[in-house]
Amino acid sequence: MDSDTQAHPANPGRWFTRRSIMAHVALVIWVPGCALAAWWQVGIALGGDSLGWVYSVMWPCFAVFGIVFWWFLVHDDPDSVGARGLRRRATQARPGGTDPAGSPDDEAIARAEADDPELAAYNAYLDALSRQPASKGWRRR
Amino acid sequence: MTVPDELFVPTDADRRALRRYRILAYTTAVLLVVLVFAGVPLQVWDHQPWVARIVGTAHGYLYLVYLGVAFDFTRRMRVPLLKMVLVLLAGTIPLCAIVAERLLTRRFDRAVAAGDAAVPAESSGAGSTGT
Repeated sequence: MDSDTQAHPANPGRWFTRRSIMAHVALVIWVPGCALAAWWQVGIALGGDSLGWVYSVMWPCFAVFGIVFWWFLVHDDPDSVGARGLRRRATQARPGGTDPAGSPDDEAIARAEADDPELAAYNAYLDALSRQPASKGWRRR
Repeated sequence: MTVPDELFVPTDADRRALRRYRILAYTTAVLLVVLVFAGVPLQVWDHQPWVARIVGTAHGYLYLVYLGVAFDFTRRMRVPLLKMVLVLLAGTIPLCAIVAERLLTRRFDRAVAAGDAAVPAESSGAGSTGT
């Protein structure tokens, strides 16, 4: 797993988002479908057509790919991958910092940080995170 | 695609992913064309199943590789989910994989050009994606 996903710590709720539930439904249809297709090809192979063996191996591979796809759908933060993540990342990567400069809240944030060292440390941590070079994929390069 | 090109700044790893994807897209597409327009007619009208069997097997297993490579590349390109699925399915429809490859490569090149225009200092090895 990459920094994208690990940046969002264990979040049981992600299994029940609308996106995740649609992925579960698709998986529940896809994997038995592949199993049925593989079984059908085993029947063809046993019936004497050796080409059936080729496809009876291939369909389980499709099922495995479906599981991989499902896993990424559930575990990706939709805000950090895909088009939305790209837009957000581009906003963060603009020269000069995290947001369009001159935010009126800057003063208030500075005052709050002066009162609360823990908040200041956390903000510094977030700032360091957002300054990291953007990772383009879900893998660490 | 829906995302402005200049927001995607390809890295060298992205370029390698593009190359892998293009190789696989062309290979599966050519095999599928041979299968559908040569293998299947030979099998049906001339009762010579061997072309279809060999090419069909090769396409089947190369399509598995194509799935993985195209999934990786479309993710890097931040292609929206539905379009990603269409790109993956394109490997099973004759000639569609080539169309998808053209669209994605063009977008990649536009992104490279936009990135070079925005940051001229970092433009070493720009636009070296092939065609």
